[in-house]
Amino acid sequence: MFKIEKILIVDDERSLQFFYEKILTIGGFRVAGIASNGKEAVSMFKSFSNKPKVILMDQRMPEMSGIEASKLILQIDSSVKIIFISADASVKEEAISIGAFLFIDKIITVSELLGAINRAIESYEL
Amino acid sequence: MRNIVNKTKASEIRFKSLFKGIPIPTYSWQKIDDDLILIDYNAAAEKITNGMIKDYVDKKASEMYINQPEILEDLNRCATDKVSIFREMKYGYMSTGVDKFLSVKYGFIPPDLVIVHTEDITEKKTFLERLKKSEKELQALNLKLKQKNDMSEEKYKTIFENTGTATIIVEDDTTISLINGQFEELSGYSREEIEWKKSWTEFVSEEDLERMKKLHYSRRKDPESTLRKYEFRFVNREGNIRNILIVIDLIPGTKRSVASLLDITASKKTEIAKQELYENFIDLVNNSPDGIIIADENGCHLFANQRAAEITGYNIDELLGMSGWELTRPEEIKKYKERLKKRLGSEPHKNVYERIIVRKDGSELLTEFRTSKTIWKGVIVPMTVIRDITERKRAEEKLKDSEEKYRYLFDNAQVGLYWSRISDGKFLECNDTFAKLFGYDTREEFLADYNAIEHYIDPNARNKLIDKKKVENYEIHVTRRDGTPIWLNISARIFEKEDRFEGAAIDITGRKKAEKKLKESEEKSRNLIDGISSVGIGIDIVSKDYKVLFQNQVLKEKFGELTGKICYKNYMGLKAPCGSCPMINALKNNRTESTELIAANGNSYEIFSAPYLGSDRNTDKVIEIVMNITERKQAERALRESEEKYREAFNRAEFYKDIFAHDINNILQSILAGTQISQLILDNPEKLDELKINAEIIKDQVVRGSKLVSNVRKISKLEEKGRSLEKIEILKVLKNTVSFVKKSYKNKNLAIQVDSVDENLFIKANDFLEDVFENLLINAIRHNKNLIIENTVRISRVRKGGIRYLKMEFLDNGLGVDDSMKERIFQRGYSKEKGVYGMGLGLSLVRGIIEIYNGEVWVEDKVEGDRSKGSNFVLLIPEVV
Repeated sequence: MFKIEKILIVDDERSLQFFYEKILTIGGFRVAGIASNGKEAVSMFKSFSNKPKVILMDQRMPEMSGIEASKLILQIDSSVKIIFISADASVKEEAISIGAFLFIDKIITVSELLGAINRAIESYEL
Repeated sequence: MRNIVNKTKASEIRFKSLFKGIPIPTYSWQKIDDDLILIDYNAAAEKITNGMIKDYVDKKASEMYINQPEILEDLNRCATDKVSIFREMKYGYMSTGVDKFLSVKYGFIPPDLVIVHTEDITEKKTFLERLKKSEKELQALNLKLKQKNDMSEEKYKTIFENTGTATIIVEDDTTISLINGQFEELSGYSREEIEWKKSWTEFVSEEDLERMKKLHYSRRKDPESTLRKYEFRFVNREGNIRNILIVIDLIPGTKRSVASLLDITASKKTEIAKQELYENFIDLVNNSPDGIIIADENGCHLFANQRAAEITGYNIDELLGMSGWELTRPEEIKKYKERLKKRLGSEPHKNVYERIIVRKDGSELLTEFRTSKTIWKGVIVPMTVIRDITERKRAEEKLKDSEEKYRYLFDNAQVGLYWSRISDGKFLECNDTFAKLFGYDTREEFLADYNAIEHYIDPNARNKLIDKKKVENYEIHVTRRDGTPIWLNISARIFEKEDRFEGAAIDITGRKKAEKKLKESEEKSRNLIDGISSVGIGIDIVSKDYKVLFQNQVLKEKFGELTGKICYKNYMGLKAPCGSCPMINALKNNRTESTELIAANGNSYEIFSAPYLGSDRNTDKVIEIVMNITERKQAERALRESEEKYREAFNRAEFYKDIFAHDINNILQSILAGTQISQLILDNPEKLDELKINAEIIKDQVVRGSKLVSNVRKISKLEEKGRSLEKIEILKVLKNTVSFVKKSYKNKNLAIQVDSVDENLFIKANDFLEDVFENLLINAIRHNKNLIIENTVRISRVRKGGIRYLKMEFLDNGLGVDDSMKERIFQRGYSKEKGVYGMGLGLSLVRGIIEIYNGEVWVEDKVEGDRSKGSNFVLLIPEVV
């Protein structure tokens, strides 16, 4: 069954943007957009009339970090599920405390990533 | 008080002097048994006897005048009958053998004295006899003149010449026609100069001239009624005035007169002296500070002076009409009447006593009565000298009080006070405090036992002290009664004439001991300072007004002799005190303070200042220990720089490690994701292209990973390699790099152009230059979403700060760099902003390399204000010509 849930990818690493998009497609999700830094992600999220339900968020990016961007996004829509995918475990607690749905350490497999997204979607359904 | 005593004394002296100074020889005889003894005499008596009178004192009159019974008789009668006797007599002085005519007055002074005044009237007597003789001769001359017919002129002349008195004959017109030898002698002129040439008026003083002229002419008109004998003042040749008694008469039957001139100057002087003496006596009595009253035997006043009037409140006339009893308290009249009786009866009585008199206004006045007897009009009567002693009594009371106070102060003073004799060192007086200084319990004990001379530790010290006459705060070293030494601080005065030494003393033994200890301590300190000097530590003493009081050898060698000079000027080369002056802080806080200062010589010193109590016992200075810490400071600075360097290196390493970890995770994540996706589509022929793309991306990630490792290595080498540079042609290196990048990114559509101002451009660089270009070009590729990745390298020349640079601009059409990131992307150190990342290690490496080349790197928008058009990475590197 085709899942229409839209997911926003936020990462400055272009190769990862490419592969995350492929994985989401394989997993049956729609990519709402790809942002290269936090600032761009916030701007993009604001612009969506139909807000994505899940955001894959990197932490270390130019111009604005994942944490800063998440705070602003959650102020716009606190229901959005933000999944942090980062090698910087030092911000894990902070990410959860500001309302992130999940913090996943890089390096992550395709099935782990899709499982995490599904859990986020399911949390809505619950 | 002193004035009153002095006045009284002066008055007594004057009275005594009056008696003693009477120019008439006076003798006192005392009646003893049936004889009289000579007991006293005055100065005139001593003079007339050539001092020999003293040999007759205590001799009996009966023995002295055995051959002059009339004198013995007069003396006895005066003493026995208590009467006064006057007699003129010729007397041969036993002492000198000279005969004199004397006017002798015997007066009885109860109870048993006879006062004998013996006035020498020899001259007077001689003069009178001569005058008598002269008059007789004049009469005889006149008689002879009357009988001129019977006598020759030669005879008259002989008589004229031998009258024995200066004699002249005066013509009617006042011309002197004849003089004798005595007149020549009197006038000083010769006979030839006077006779018929001079008028008698030339020998008369102005004051007497008119009077005598009148007499001259009167005599010629009416000789009987004209004065024949009078005195005048004669002027001799030298202009000297002589007193002359002249006897003059007309020569019968002529208008000529004959005059005898007798020089009475000497007797005139005596007369004047007597008159002056009398006047002085009266003046003395009238001006006496004491009242003098002479009364009769009933107490009725016969004489009173002005002072008596003042004391009693009555005027002199009133006093003379009253008796002394009216001045006496009624209850005391009886007592004083009895005393008067005793006085007059020669019974023993008190002749000096205090007595209250009743004044005219009824007030009472305390006086002192001095009673004696005197002769008043030939009768012996009581004389009283009355002195108002109210003031004296008050002064005496005051003095008594004052003496008591001073005695109290003296006895109870906390300072030792004393008098001693200079000559033998005996103490004459002292207080208990002084006695206790020497170990005595009482002053009496001390005065009886202690002698100054015996107790000086240095016997010469006392002589030195005496030589000074007066000393203040003078220190002497003596011994106590038990021989223990004691230091005294004395202030003393030496009264050499009075053989007296008076002073005040305090015991300073304790202080001297403390000073000795302090000196010893200072000696030890000095030794310590010398010891410290030997190990190169500076020591000085500085006063609160910044003056250097002492320096040890170390500081002298370093800074020169600065004693007496200002510390901050000479040590530090400053115009004002050091901001962190340890001396001021040490004195303010009364504790040791320290600071580090850089001296004028450039060396660093650590200074410890501590309040210093010197031998003067003032805490107005510090002792300072000055340690040269220049080497230590240099070592600390080097260590600090080293620490800084290593801290920076550590931070950089942390930073690089962080970036490396981040980038390598992304690379591995990409490779893992790409691999897993590829596996999923591996069997799907429709996904072959996608599979190829995945493979390219994975390969790209591997290349990137390789480059990342390479950059880490190079950064490490960059830190090690330092600044070893050589001249390099940049276009050659740039072209090689462009070629390498193009090969590395064959799948990318790259449009790289080089636009240079010149072909041969050189800079000082090393083999890292290639990495600079490579990183800039690869960044432009990686951060670019365009199908055609454009990059133009524009090279130009610019001058900045007088230096010629090559400006290399790498212009791309990539994503651009946000303004907030333009500086941060070249970050080379660890940042707190861990969440914000730039463009990986590459740009950090670029800045590190360019800084080694003394160049600059920055990024700006290709089109100013529009980052979306791409970036312009700019390098400025000094050109080598």
